[in-house]
Amino acid sequence: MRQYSKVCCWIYIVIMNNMKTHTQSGFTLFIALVVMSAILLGSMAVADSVWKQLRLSSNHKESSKAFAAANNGIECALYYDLPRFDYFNKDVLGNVSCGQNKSASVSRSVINATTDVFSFSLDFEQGSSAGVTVTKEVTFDSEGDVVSTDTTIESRGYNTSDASARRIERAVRASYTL
Amino acid sequence: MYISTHTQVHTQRKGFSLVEALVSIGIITVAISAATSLVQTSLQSAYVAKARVVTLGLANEGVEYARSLRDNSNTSTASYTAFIDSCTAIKGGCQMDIENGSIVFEMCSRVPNGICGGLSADADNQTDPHAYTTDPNNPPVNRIVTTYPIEDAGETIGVRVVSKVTTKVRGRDDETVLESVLLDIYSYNE
Repeated sequence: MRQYSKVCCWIYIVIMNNMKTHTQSGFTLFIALVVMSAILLGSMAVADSVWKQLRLSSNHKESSKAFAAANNGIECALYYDLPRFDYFNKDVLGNVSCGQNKSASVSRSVINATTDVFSFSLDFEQGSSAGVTVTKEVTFDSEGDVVSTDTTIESRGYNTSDASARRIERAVRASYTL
Repeated sequence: MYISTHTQVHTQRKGFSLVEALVSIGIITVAISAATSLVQTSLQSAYVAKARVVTLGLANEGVEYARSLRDNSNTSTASYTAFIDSCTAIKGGCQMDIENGSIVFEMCSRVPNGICGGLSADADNQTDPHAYTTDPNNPPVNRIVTTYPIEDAGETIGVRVVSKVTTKVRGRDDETVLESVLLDIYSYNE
């Protein structure tokens, strides 16, 4: 507000000086510049607001795609962890059939004597994808029998397969003990 | 001497006023045309942004209809199986909507003389005035739900549901696609 009044004051002084000296040359030009600045400032404010709307709606759409991919990944891992398949307790690794790449192979890495990490990746429509890791941590009793198994499934969904600046990641995690 | 100088100055000032006015008109014309173009582009973008929000919601709705059929498949298994079989890509997908409180789907190949999946805002809906409903006459938005059965060892274990919403925003095509994997978790017993 103070800046605004300063500008007004400055404009007034310029006008008065022009009137006093009777040299009004450049006054029309000056007014034209002021009007042009006002018009451009107004339209740029509108453009800025719309640009933000566009970015927000675009991010919303891409975020939904990434979240849907993550959700699909976790659904797939939960299904193949059912006793019927029990893919993440086996030494022989199977393939999961949830994505567009109908047969995604499961890989396994042994962390230590009690923990294994299984992972697979899925492709979906329009380049969205998900990377899923299933961590199995087994607790044994003193006699070496399995007491419980902690399972943690982490699914990271992406809106696009290429790692550009517009890539969005959304992740879902599920943990349970059986 | 005085007169001639005065006349010279006067003439120069008169000329300057004309040039000044012309330049000012030029500046204001440029400013107005630039502002008009900027506001026009912004308006177009605002329509695109609005369409994106609407189409994303409608695509999500298509997926949720399918999820609802899966989640209730223990009570209406026939309906869910029919959905998976009827809406495949080979059959051209389905249009889905709510009629009398329940989800209905119709194969695109069987939609009579209309645009399959055509939707428009349902202004008569008193409970939800923002709802969209099937409208084959003049649809601003088009939604087709397609199923891709997931098989494992020759057995169908679920379905990939692809909900595709297309629209035209001021002559330009806009498309939103959402995909959901629905596996037969609830029907599985062992």
